[in-house]
Amino acid sequence: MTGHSPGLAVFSAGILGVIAVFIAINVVLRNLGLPVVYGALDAIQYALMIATFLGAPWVLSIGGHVKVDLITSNLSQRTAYALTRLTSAIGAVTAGVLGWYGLQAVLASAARGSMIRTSFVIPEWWMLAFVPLSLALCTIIFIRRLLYPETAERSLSGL
Amino acid sequence: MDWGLTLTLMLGGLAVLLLIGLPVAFAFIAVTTVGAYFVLGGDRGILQLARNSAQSVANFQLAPIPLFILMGEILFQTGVAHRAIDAIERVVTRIPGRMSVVTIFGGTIFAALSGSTIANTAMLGGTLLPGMLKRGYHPSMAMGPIMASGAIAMLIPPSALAVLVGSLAGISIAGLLIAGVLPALLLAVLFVAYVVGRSLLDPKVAPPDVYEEMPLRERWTPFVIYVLPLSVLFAVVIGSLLAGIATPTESAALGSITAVIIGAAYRALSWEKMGRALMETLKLSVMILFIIAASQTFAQVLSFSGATNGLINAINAVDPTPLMVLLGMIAILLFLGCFIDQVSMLMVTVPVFVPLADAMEINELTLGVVYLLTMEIGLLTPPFGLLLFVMRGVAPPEIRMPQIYASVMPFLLIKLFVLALIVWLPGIGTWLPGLMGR
Amino acid sequence: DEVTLRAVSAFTLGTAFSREFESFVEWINENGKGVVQINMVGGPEAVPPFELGNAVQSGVVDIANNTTAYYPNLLPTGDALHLAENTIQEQRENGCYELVDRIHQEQMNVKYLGHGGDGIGYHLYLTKPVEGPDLSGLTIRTTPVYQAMFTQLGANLVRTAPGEVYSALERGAIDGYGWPSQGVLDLGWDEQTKYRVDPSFYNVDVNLLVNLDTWNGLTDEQRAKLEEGAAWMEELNNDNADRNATEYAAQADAGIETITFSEADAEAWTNAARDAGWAAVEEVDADLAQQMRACMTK
Ligand code: NA
Ligand code: NA
Repeated sequence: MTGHSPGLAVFSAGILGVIAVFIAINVVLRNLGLPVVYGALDAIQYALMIATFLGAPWVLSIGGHVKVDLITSNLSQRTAYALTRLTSAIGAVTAGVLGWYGLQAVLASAARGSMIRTSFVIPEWWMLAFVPLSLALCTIIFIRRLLYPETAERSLSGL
Repeated sequence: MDWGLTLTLMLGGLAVLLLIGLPVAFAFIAVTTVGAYFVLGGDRGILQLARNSAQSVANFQLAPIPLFILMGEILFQTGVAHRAIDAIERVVTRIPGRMSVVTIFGGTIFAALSGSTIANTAMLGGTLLPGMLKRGYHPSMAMGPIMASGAIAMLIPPSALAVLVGSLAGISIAGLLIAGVLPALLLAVLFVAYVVGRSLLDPKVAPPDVYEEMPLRERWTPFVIYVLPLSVLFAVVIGSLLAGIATPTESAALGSITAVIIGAAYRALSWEKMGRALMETLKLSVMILFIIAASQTFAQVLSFSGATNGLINAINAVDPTPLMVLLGMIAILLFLGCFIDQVSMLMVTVPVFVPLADAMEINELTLGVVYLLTMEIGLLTPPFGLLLFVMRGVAPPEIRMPQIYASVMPFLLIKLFVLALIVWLPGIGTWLPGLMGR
Repeated sequence: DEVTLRAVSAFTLGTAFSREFESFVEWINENGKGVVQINMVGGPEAVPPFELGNAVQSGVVDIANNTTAYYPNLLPTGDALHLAENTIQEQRENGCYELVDRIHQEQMNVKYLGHGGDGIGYHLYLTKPVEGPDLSGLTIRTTPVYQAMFTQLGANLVRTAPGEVYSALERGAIDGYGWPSQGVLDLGWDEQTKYRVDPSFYNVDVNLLVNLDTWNGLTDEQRAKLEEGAAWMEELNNDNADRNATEYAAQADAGIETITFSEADAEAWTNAARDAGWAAVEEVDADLAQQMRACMTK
């Protein structure tokens, strides 16, 4: 399934590490009276977005997204599988539909040549593209879970 | 469409999807997608929704969330946290309910170093629970303090949840981070008072243990080596915030880097541990940030439909006092906290509570502290309390779930008492942030 | 027959840059009974500010109150609007309005119905004094609006999230920021601000945008009513001089001193603003920039 996900996940985790280093370097530079990197704010905003959307499929695949298991934790295995199939179907349709519209948003933006104009100027669709990419991978994971409900992971998530 | 109907359908649909076990983020996305189709106007509405979702997490104010999580993960993965607990245990002597007190001290100190209540509770449970049960501590004196003080991690900075509350509710993040400190310390003091008092009244629950006699120097050396240096971290994160010399983002980034340096100084660092800390950080951060993307768009659609305003006007029409409104919100939050997790509690209520509190002129920091405390209580209330399950995971198999529920009850009462105190004297939350300017 | 349009503002309702728009909506709902009505859906809580341009382009929103700084992805030359040195009334006279309307229609599928913000200039606010327009050695928080100008004047620029400006000023991470004449006190930044540099430069631009398909679907009578309302709203720009005076007095009370440049310095300051601003627009579209500059500057 997620032949891609671990790779994307490692990449996303790396982004988070880089953000930490980057902000810390900026603080130090500033305190030494040196100029800080001008585009840091914008770069970090987009980095957060990218890490979130690229990391989401992996988190889904390891069952790391929070669930309310008030009802689901007390079911027989048969019923639990049936319910997993139902929720996976809903999840697949949801991620599929929004992902498809996300793709339309990307195509529309690319077609009209919209540019992001902050500290740097880049095509807007580069950033929008992470949404359909992420949701497409989530759709695949939900479909796999629909077919093989026993692979659905259970893990405790929260803070 | 009538706003009442929209509100009912969206919240009702959400409730059903949450209950059948769809991951929270996807439950929100499902309801919002359908809502966007009807409220924002068909295809173009869903297209707009897709764009809004990308925009919602491209927000600099959310940067402290992964950084705070990373900082705690580094301390846990390198084992620095566990060694510090052992060191604390050595120096706490001659106090009734000694091990319970050690738990509360350790939990509070780690609350200032980690933003994760789960990691904090699991660490306290893993290191202290076996010893306490072996020494004959009553389960309620062993497990109660572990869960109760583990939960404090979300009140004291670093706290990813406080950042989340602040950014979603539009409350000063630095202010809210600092606002949690006093209530947390008050809780810790009351926990200790309870533990000591109960041990004095009923020595059976916490048998006075025979701890090793050792020279003063030997007793304190580990403390100096493993606990005192952590105060550097404390100074970097909380000190810089309080002194107003760093923004929350910067204090979080410096905290992570300092944690790495401390780990390296103990020669406890390896690429493997750093990798594990980063992946664990990714898991928790993405979980939160993805829900943010989902729930912010949910709030936007709800607001666009007129449901948010409709509800506020309806409540205004009853002409309640701000106190009544605040108590109503607390009741709802406590109720939700019994059944759903902290992030979902926040997501479901913020779209309605924040505009409502605004209309009622309820102090935003007070609202923020109320959020933090009710969420913290929700961690411990049956049937669904995250930390109850964490405890289930680390406790020996003969401990039953009802025993876990019972052990936390006295501490729940203390937390409810502090919550009531804050409603009565909001200064407990707002005084400290008031000192720091903003 | 009556039509109801859905309106959203990029700014929180009740704040300075939504005020005229809300008055416009009231005026239409009062005077447009039986013809056209406006349903004020909300502010940034309903549509994120940077997505409002897209929402009015696609028709999710019928009418938007928006500033060009929030939709550069759709109208890259929009920066020109805050460089204007004449009023919207003058621009309606000299044909500039038609030009701006045309590029809004062609490039982002919206009718440029009306314009507010004339007379609300931008200022540089500082924590340490300056002698003249030379900003070298100063670290300034900026947005794309001032980026070109402050760069040309030698400042070291940073981007700071709105929520972090206060503490950035407090611990000296930034020495100042650009902001309109109004709004500093609302944000609480006055507590960390010591100086305001006069004269002001540029103009705030808040624009009434109507989805073009919606606009074309209206009757002549409905369009006329909306245009009448927009013209009425644009007259409100005349109140901005008084508002500025009140705001300056309040800033003085809050302890913000005014640094007033000498005539020569003021001219250098204004010229730098103008030249750098237009150079940036020219970089995007030289031809359009030239046409707009011709009808917007004196
Ligand atoms: Na904490
Ligand atoms: Na609970």
